[in-house]
Order: sequence, then structure tokens, then C-alpha cells
Amino acid sequence: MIAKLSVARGDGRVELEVEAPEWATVLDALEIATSKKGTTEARRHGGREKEGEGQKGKEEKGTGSGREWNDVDVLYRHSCHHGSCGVCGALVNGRPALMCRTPLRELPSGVVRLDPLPYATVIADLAVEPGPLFDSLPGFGYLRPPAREELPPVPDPAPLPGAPAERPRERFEDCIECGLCLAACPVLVPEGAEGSDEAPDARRPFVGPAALAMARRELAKKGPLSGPARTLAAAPDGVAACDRAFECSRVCPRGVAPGRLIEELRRGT
Amino acid sequence: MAFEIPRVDPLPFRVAVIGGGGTGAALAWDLALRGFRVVIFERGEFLSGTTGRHHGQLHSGARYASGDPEIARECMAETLALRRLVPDAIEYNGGLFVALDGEEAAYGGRFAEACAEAGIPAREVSPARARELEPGLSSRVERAFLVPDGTFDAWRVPAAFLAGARELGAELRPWTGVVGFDATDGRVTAARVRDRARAAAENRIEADCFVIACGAWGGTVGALAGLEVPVTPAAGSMLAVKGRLCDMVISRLRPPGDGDILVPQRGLSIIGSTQRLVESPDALLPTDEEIAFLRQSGAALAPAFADAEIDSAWCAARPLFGSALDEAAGRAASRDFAVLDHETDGMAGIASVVGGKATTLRVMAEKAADLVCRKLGVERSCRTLETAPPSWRDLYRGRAP
Ligand SMILES: Cc1cc2nc3c(=O)[nH]c(=O)nc-3n(C[C@H](O)[C@H](O)[C@H](O)COP(=O)(O)OP(=O)(O)OC[C@H]3O[C@@H](n4cnc5c(N)ncnc54)[C@H](O)[C@@H]3O)c2cc1C
Ligand code: SF4
Ligand code: FES
Repeated sequence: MIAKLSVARGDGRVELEVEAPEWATVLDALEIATSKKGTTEARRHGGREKEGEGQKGKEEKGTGSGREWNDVDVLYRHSCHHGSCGVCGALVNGRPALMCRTPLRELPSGVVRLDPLPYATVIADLAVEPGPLFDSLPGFGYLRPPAREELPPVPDPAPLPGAPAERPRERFEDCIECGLCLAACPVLVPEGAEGSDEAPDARRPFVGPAALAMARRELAKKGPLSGPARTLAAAPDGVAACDRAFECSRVCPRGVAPGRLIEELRRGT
Repeated sequence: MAFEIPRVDPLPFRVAVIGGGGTGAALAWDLALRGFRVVIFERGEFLSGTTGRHHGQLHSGARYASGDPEIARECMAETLALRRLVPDAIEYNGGLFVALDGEEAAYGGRFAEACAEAGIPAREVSPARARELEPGLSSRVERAFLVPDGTFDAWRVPAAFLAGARELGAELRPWTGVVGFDATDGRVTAARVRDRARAAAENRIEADCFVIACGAWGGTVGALAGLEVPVTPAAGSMLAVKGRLCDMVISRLRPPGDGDILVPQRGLSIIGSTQRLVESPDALLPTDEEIAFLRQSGAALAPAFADAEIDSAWCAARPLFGSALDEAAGRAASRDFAVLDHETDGMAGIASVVGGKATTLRVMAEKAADLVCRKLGVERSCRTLETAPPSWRDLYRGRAP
């Protein structure tokens, strides 16, 4: 299929057009379109690069040298390509999503609009600095038992010194720390504030859905003993600052349901 | 940040690491711990090459024991080390090697001997016990061995090393690729880098030593300095379905081949992989044939894989050590890694680290940093075995505007 992408670049946009397999994701298409291979393809399919107007501080590209890897140089974050690292978030047609888990065929036909996530500072194009997300996250542990309680513990063929020969099964928490819930949160990113310079001032102090979801998970694992989790939830920028929009649960790519977890904290369960 | 890393006296040398994958990340951390001034260049976001995309198997070495006991031994040591150093990014549930036919069952004897020889505690269990531990396993299992494999988070382990390097003052330069080198009198003195975030501004960066840690891109980057770095890129595809079909890593009891490892990953199950040589490691995608093959291979190990909903299919560039490998020999030939001092090729001031796997990123970095020390006449030993890095979350903390 031919994928058409319109990617934010400063005040303008870059239009890309590329041939991709039927099952390809937005990230696949973006990666092909911005690689050497892809740009050859793109040309073959009548692709073109349009520079946005009114760009500031960007050199005109499309001619000249210095473009060693890409003919169309678009900055975007990516790593695992299967929804596990959490770095490839973007606004896909205006909605926060992981590009690697958004198949093109599930989107309406036509041009796919890609914009950077609104909660963070833009480095360039789609690439953001995820500092605000990680600043919000507590330092809680990342492992939990898998849900299948009927299964026996696993034998440990190489126990660490002093450790028992069998160990409880473990798995990572579901949250991949992608920040989509922050991007979707109307408290953190008020309507219409996206991309506007006023945005940060318009924000009320709110630690955000990801941190509160983690606090709820920590309480589930450690019980009332987890003072830090309780403190985080009870702070003025904690549960009390949540407006119950539940946008976080709608966009979460890993089914963490932060909105529900926040409600559980609110009810003290 | 409550985390305190014990520091040593700073050294008067600047080392430039080129490539921000797992190997470069571990190298930046190792060099910074030894007291070097470190700068690390990555042309994209960190971990956007092969590292983030891998399968996530923390190799105990059992897979390699009958082929190469040395690699196996090294994997075992690194598995234990990483468990101590980054426990939060490892699901340590062990692994099972299972025979699905008579031929594979017969391989069991050689497998057990080879593991014993490499110091890997593999233990045979009955097929019934294997299926008690992992009820999703095929009922065709004829023989099974428990091994100390695990699963790790492909992004979070190396991100923790980068966070540690950052904490020690290393200069992290994502979006900045090396586009050339300046050399005088047979010595590389500077790299020319292009900052993609700043409208392709090109800068000249001087350092006392450069190390190419560009994985499958090592050949391309080496060529910029007129060097022949022996790396062959090979594409490896993986397929994830929804549903966690196992907690342990399940492997076929046979010599390493395609479609023979099933790895759990949060709520997903991933089967891998395949291998085909490619000209360029950029923008690889699985082929339809590979996806169909992987689907079948997953179903052979865990029948539920056959009808589970596909979550994702993707492809990564394997950095095979060696230059003129034919496709058939590729897999057996080169899971190993090497640290190359290009002074032997007539170019001083530059080295490469090639091949390897994500499980061995720390020891690859140790060997590369040892070489840097020798080249610069520094006597500082490796400290990464006894120093745990901070959390991966620290990589981006405090970077708000
Ligand atoms: C399909 C597959 C499955 C695998 N599964 C496993 C597994 O289960 N367990 C395991 O332990 N290992 C596994 N591996 C192996 C492992 O993923 C790799 O060996 C390892 O990730 C390589 O890391 P690296 O840092 O050397 O390379 P990379 O991660 O590729 O890093 C090199 C970096 O250099 C950058 N770069 C390139 N050119 C330049 C330039 N000019 N300037 C600056 N930077 C540049 C690239 O962008 C890249 O990020 C697997 C590999 C494949 C292919
Ligand atoms: S709760 Fe969901 S959306 Fe929020 S950071 Fe975690 S995985 Fe992402
Ligand atoms: S690339 Fe890792 S979540 Fe999309």
C-alpha cells in the first residue's frame, strides 16, 4: 500500500509518501520513508518533500550535501518496534499513540498526520525530550508476580548465594513509561493549549496518571507499608488534582487503566 | 537523586564512543567509571539500532554450549552479573530446552555434556514436569532441560548504563552522527559529526581515542576512516502475539537455528528469529514468508501461538562478526565478538568493537575499555562488575526545559 504521512516540522510540515506492506505500522512507514531505501521508493511513487513555511532556525533541505543517511531527515524516537520500550509515542491524527503499534490499515485512508506529544519539549520534528515524564515517576520497583497463581514457582538452576532453589515467577509491570497518558490528560494538556506557548502556564500542578498508576501498583504489591506511594497519592498534585476524564485509560497502549487505578486510590482501595 | 556512584580521580583523556546501542552504552559507563572524559555519539535516539529490537533473551549460554564453550561460559557469567547489577530490568524465570522429536531428544546427551563443560547448570526434567511448569507447552515434548536463562528488557538494561554514564558527567549526544574523520600522520585526531537536531550543523570533535561501537553499521562507519571493519549485517525477524504463553524462555533442543526461541514479554509472547544477509542494516522489515514461518515455529513450541492475535512483527540487524560469510555458515560462525585495535591496520587513535550480543554488552565494553587503557597507557581496571548503575528513569530525569 502507499502510505502518506504528514509530519510536523516546526511551524510547517513535511509530506512523505512511501510504499509499505499491508500490515505495516506508522513507525514502519516512517522508517522506510526516511531511510535511503525509502526515499528512492518515495520518488518512484511520486513522493515529494515539502518544507513547511515560516520555519525558524532550520536550514533549507532538499538540496545540497550533508544528508548521509536520509534524503528526508525527520527526527523521531523509536527503539523496540513492538510496544515494549515506550519511546515512540506521537500524536497520530491528533491522538496520542505508539507509532509502532498503530497499523496503517486501522487508520482512515488518506494522509496520516503526525505531531509530537504535547506534554514534553520538542527537540525537532516528532522527537521530544521526555524529561517531564520521568521527573514525574517515582522510583518504585518494576517487577511483579505474573497473574497466573495456579502455576508452581520456577526452579532456579543458578541461585544467587543464599537464595532458595525455587523462586516466585516474576514479570515486568505493564506500564512501559511511554507518557501517552500524560499527553492525553486534559489537566496536564488543557484543550487548545497544544502547541501554544501559553500551555505550561495553563497547567495545574498534577503529577499525572502514570505516576499515580505506579503508586497504586506499589500499594498492591507492598500493602499499606508503602508510605511513599501513599504520600504521592495524597499530595495536592496527586489524586485530588485528577479531573476524572479517563482519557489516560483510553490511550494507554498496555491496558494499565490508570484512570481506574486513580479511582481506586481515591476510594482508598 | 539518592544514587551515589563511587568516583575515581579524573583522567586527562577524552574518549569518544561512536554508536549509542547497548555496546556503546555499556562502554560509556565503563569508561566514565574508570575516570575518562567520555562523549558518546548516536545518530538517532539512543538504542534505536539493533539493541532495542532484540528478542529479550538473557542467554545463560546453553544455546551456544555445544557450538562454542567459551561463548557459553561468557554468557553464563554475564547473566549472573546482570542479575546483580540491573535486577529490575530482568524477569528471571529460567528457561527450558525441549525436544519435539526423536532427533532432538537424541541431541539431549550432547547438550547436557556441553552445558556441564561450560559450567552451565542444566538439569533434565521429565516432560510431565516441564508441562507442569509451563502448561502452554506442546504435548509433543519428549525431553526437557532446565537452564538458567531469563528475559530482559532490551531498552531498560542499556538505558540504565547510559543513565550511569550521564550521572558521571559523560556527554550524551543523541541525534548526532559521525560523518567523517580527520587523520594526520596515520592517527585519527577528530571526528566530524552532524547534529541533526540543529539543522545539520557539522562540528569537528577532537578526542584522544575513538571507539566505533556501531553494531551492524560498524563497516560503514569504519569506512569513513578508510578502515575495513569486519561486520556483516544480517536481518533477523521476530513475531509477537498477544497473550503470555509462558514465563520461562522456551527453546528447541537442537543446534541454534531459525524460529527456535519463544520469549515472554509482559503480556506478549515473541518467537524468533530468522537470518538473511542484507546490504544495508537500515529500515529492515520482515518478509511475509518469515512471518508465516515464525507463526508455525511458535505454534510448534506452544500450540496456542497458532491462533493468537498477532501483536507486532519486526526485524533487527544482526552484527555478524566477519566479512565474507555465506548465508548458510552465518549463524554458526559468528556469535562471538572482537575488539579491534586499528593501529594494526596503520591507523592510530581508533578502535572498534564488533559482533557479540546484548547479553554480553558489559563484557564487550570491558574488553574495549581495557584496549583504550592500553592505547593511552592508563592503568585503571574495570569497575562495572561491582558498581550497579542507577535506574533507567534517570536517563531523562531533570531534562525539563
Ligand atoms: C533478530 C535478533 C534477535 C536477537 N536476540 C537477542 C537476544 O535475545 N539476546 C541477546 O543477548 N542478543 C540478541 N540479539 C543480538 C543483539 O541484539 C545485538 O548483538 C546487540 O543489540 C548489538 O548492540 P550494539 O550496540 O553493538 O549495536 P546497535 O544496537 O545496533 O548500536 C549501534 C548504534 O550505532 C548507531 N550508528 C550507526 N551509524 C552511526 C554513525 N555514523 N554515527 C553515530 N552512530 C551511528 C546506530 O544508530 C545504532 O544505534 C539479537 C539480534 C537480532 C538481530
Ligand atoms: S500508564 Fe499506560 S499510557 Fe501511561 S505511561 Fe504507562 S503504559 Fe504509557
Ligand atoms: S518503539 Fe518501543 S514502544 Fe514503539
